[in-house]
Amino acid sequence: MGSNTVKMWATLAGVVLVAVGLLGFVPNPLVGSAQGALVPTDAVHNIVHLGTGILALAIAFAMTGKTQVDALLGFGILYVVILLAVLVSPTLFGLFSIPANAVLHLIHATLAIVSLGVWSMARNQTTNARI
Amino acid sequence: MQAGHELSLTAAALVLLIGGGLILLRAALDTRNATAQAVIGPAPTNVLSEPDVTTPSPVDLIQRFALWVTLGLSIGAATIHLAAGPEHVQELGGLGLGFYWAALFQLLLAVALLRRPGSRSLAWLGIGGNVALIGAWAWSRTMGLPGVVGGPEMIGVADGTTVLLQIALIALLAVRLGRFDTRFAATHSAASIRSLTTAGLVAGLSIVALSTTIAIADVSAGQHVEDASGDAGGHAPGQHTLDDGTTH
Repeated sequence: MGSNTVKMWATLAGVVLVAVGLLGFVPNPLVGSAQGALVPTDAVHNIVHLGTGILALAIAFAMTGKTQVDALLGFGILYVVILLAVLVSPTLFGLFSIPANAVLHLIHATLAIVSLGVWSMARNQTTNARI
Repeated sequence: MQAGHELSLTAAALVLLIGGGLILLRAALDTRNATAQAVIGPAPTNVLSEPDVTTPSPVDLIQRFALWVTLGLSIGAATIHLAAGPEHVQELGGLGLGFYWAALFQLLLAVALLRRPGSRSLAWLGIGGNVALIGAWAWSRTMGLPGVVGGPEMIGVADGTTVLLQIALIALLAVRLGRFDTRFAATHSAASIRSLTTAGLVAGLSIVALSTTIAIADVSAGQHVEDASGDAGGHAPGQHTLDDGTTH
């Protein structure tokens, strides 16, 4: 299972993050608030989502086996750092015009916890498979 | 726009929560099945247990990890220096060119380390150069640069981030010089070193990229503030006046 589950989670995380990053750059037609221009600092936030989304997709599709599992650990650690940084400073030291809200913290926490959880179980399975 | 962004974030949170929960559940069930199978019979065929075609030694793995993170740190710091260059040349004139020299040094150091990763003299040069840059920064933040009126500058996000990147860079170069990599490899298993270096590369390089992005955005935001305050005839934070009375 290990590699399959790791790939599945990395793909889901990557697709969601890339989608969120791209949506941040364009007016959302669903709500119809096309008149508001994006504040420049918000672009940083979108770039972070896009970048980490591409990273997750790279883990899903450009890596295999144990490397993929270990890379997911790195991804989880990255999101722990992001979660803590944004918790400490919701505007990321004044760079975001809109402070991070509970939903954003939830996204960061989910990405960190699930990544570390999937890594932990995939790693354990590696150990079991070698018994 | 903000409402649209909130909506997309909420949708993303829901997808990640539900999807992540299901994937974790599946992973837990699979792990339990695999454990049971390992007890009652031969280990199942698993991609993870396949041997690698090439297996570099633990010391090689640590050195490769250190090299790539060092390159990332040096290029990250150079990029921030480059981004801050125009603003400082405008403010400080010739003194501001130091930012371009710092960027050039750090970029050349990265290229040289890539070509000669084992060179101890390059490591010493990297440590010396970056210590000097941190020293100049510390001087500007405590006593103020010579020839510049206005006293010490405040520590900001961009310069603070750059100094942190440089400290990490110095630490990694020192690790190489102190042969800590060899000592670490001797006391840890090859498997754990491989896991640590792979995860460390992903997390380390991503954090460097993220920090660099934040710092460049801060520099850019500072330039916008200065442009705006310049139009209004005001002085932005960090703006300097040279000894000849010229305000830049």
